[in-house]
Amino acid sequence: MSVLESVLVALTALRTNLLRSMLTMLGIIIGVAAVITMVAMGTGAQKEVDAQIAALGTNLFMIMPGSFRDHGARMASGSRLKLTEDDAHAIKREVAGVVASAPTSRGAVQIVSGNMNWSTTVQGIDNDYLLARNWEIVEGRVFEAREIRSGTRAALVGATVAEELFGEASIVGQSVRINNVPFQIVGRLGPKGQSMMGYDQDDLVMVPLEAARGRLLGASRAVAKAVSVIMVSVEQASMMDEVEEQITGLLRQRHRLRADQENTFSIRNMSEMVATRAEASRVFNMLLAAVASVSLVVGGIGIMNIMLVSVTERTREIGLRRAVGAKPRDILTQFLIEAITLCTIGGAVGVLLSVVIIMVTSNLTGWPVELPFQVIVLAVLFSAAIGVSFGYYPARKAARQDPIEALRYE
Amino acid sequence: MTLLSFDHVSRRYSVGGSEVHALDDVSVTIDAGEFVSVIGPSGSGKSTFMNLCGCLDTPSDGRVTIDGVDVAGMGEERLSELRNERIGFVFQQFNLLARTSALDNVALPLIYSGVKRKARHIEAMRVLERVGLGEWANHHPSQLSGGQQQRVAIARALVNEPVLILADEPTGALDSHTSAEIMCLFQELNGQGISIVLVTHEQDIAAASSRKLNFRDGKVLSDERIEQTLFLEPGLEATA
Ligand SMILES: Nc1ncnc2c1ncn2[C@@H]1O[C@H](COP(=O)(O)OP(=O)(O)O)[C@@H](O)[C@H]1O
Ligand SMILES: [Mg+2]
Repeated sequence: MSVLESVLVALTALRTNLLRSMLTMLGIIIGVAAVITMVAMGTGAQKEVDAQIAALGTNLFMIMPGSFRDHGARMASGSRLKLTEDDAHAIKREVAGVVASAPTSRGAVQIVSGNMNWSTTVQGIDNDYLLARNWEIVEGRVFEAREIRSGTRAALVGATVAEELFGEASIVGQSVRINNVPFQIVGRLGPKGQSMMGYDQDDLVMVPLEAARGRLLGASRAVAKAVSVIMVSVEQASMMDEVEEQITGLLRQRHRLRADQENTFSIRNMSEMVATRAEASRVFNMLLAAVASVSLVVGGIGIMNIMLVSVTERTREIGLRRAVGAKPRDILTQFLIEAITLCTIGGAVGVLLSVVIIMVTSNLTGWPVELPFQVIVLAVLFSAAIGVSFGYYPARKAARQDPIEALRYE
Repeated sequence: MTLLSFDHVSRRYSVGGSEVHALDDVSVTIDAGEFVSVIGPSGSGKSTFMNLCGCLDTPSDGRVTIDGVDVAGMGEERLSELRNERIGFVFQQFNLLARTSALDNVALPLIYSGVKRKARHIEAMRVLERVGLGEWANHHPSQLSGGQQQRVAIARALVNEPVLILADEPTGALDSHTSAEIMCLFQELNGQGISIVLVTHEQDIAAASSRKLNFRDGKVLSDERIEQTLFLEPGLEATA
C-alpha cells in the first residue's frame, strides 16, 4: 500500500468525521498561529532594537555633568560640575582608543523658512559628533573646520525638519531663521528613526557648537565653553572598560578632585545599555514563543485523545481491514498518516490564520512585525512532527489489535 | 484436491487460570469446490474453526494446512497476504464501512493487494454487477436494505477471486425471504467453483450445502454428506 494511497484513506476517514476533525485541528491551528504570531512580533521588535543599536553609533559613551544618583541636586550646585569643550578635546587627545570625542549642547528652538514654522531642537556640535553617532549626510556636506572654529551660522537639518519645512525639495543653500537668527543650510542629515526612549531623532537641526552657544542657547557665563554632553566613541568594544577608566581618571584630574571626592560627572556606556535591552527583548521573545509552544503541545494531546477515541470506535473496521488483508503496518500507517494529516492541515491553516492576525495587528497598532519564511516551514514541519509523536501511540494500539477480537467488538 | 486440512487441531484459551478447549482435537479435510455447512449450538467452536480456516488464528496444537502449506510457519504478514489473495469473509453483521459507498466497500481488499485506484473501481463494479447491485454502487450502506448490504459484503469477499469463502452466520440478521436469496447466491458461486464454508444454526440454511459438519463442545460430532437443496433464483421466488 503506497503512501499516497494511505493519505487518501486517511483523508476519507477524516472527511467522514468532518466536524470532529475540524475541532481536533483547532488545537493545532491555534497553537501554530500563536507560535508564528509570537515569533513574528518578537522578530519585528528585535529588528527594531537592532536598528536602534545601529543608529546609536558604535561603542559609545555618554558623559554628563553631575552623578546619576543625585542628578538634579548636583546640577545646580556650582561651576565645578560643568563639562567643557576642552574636556572633550583632552579625552580625544589623551585617551588611547578614542575615535571621536564630541562636545554637544542642545536646546529647544523655533525654526522658520518662508512662511513655514517648526518647533524643534537645536544641537550644537562639532564634526566628531557625526562620527561618534555614525550619522550620514544625504545631501550637501558636513561643517568645515573653519565653520566649527568661528561658529559660522551654518546648519545641518534633520530628516523630519527638512520634510516639514521643504518637503522633498533640495535644501542646501536655503536660508532659515532659528530663533530669528539667520542660518544657511549646508546639508541634510540621513534619517535615524526613533530613539530607544521613543523620541524622533530626526527632529533637530545641528549647528556649530560655537554658533549654538553664542546665539541660540543663552550660554552660561559661569564656565566658558560649557557643554551638556560629551559623546565618546571607542575603536573596539573590547576597549570600553579600559577607556572608561582612563576617561574617569582624566576628568577627575582635570576637575581637580581629591581622592575622597565623588565624581562630578557620570559616564554611561550606551552600547551596553542597548545590548542589555536587546538581550532582554530576546529573552522575552523566547519566553513568548515557549508559552505559545505549550498551546501547540496541548493541541498535540488533543490529537492523541481523539485518535485514541477513533481507534476504539473503529475497532470493527480495523478487524475487517485485517481480515481482508491489511497487515499490522498498513493499519499503523493508516492511523499515523491520519494524525499527521490532521496536524499538517491544522498547521497550514494555522499559518494562514497567523498571517491574517499579523497583518491586522500590525495595521491596527503599527507594531513592527517580521515573518521569516523559515518560521512558516518550521511550524508546518513541527506540527507534522507533533502528528507523528502524538499519533504513534494510538496508531500502534490500532495495529496491535487482534483481528478476531476486533471483529467481535461491539 | 485438498484445499484445507485440519490434523488433530486444538485451540485453547486460558480464561482466568482455567483452560477452555474451544476446539479439541479436530481432524477434517475440505476439498476444493466443496460447499460445507458448520452447525452446532452456541459455544461449540464453530467460529473458532472458521477463524482457523481463514488464517485469522493459528492452532495451539496440531496442523492446519492450506493448499498443503502449514499455516503455523507463517508470520503475521504472510497470513495477511494469504487472506487477501485466497479467502473471502462474510459476516453476520455485514461489517461494511459506514459513510463509504458500496463500490469503495467492495474495492477495500484490492487496496491491500496494491491495485491502482482506477483498476480497483473497475474490478469492484464488475463484482457488484455479478451480485446484482450494479445500480447501487454509489449508495452508502445506510441507504441499502439488509439483503443488499449482505450482497455488497459478498461482493467484497469475491473481489479478489478467492478460492474459499467463509461465511459466519451470513443470514443471521436477515429475514427468511432474503436469506433464501443470499443462499441462492452462495450456491451460484459454489457452482462457479468457489469453495464455501458456512456457519449456521438453522437446519434449512445448512440444507443448501452438500456436507454438514456438526460441532459439539469443540469436537466434530458428525460429518455427513447431504442432499443439496437447491434454492430458487430470486426472480422465481414469487412463483414458488
Ligand atoms: N478469545 C477467546 N477467549 C476465551 N475464550 C474464547 C475466546 N473465543 C472463544 N472462546 C471460547 O471458546 C468456545 C467456542 O467459541 P466459539 O468458537 O465462538 O463458538 P461458536 O461460534 O460455536 O458459538 C466458547 O466456550 C468461547 O467462550
Ligand atoms: Mg460464533
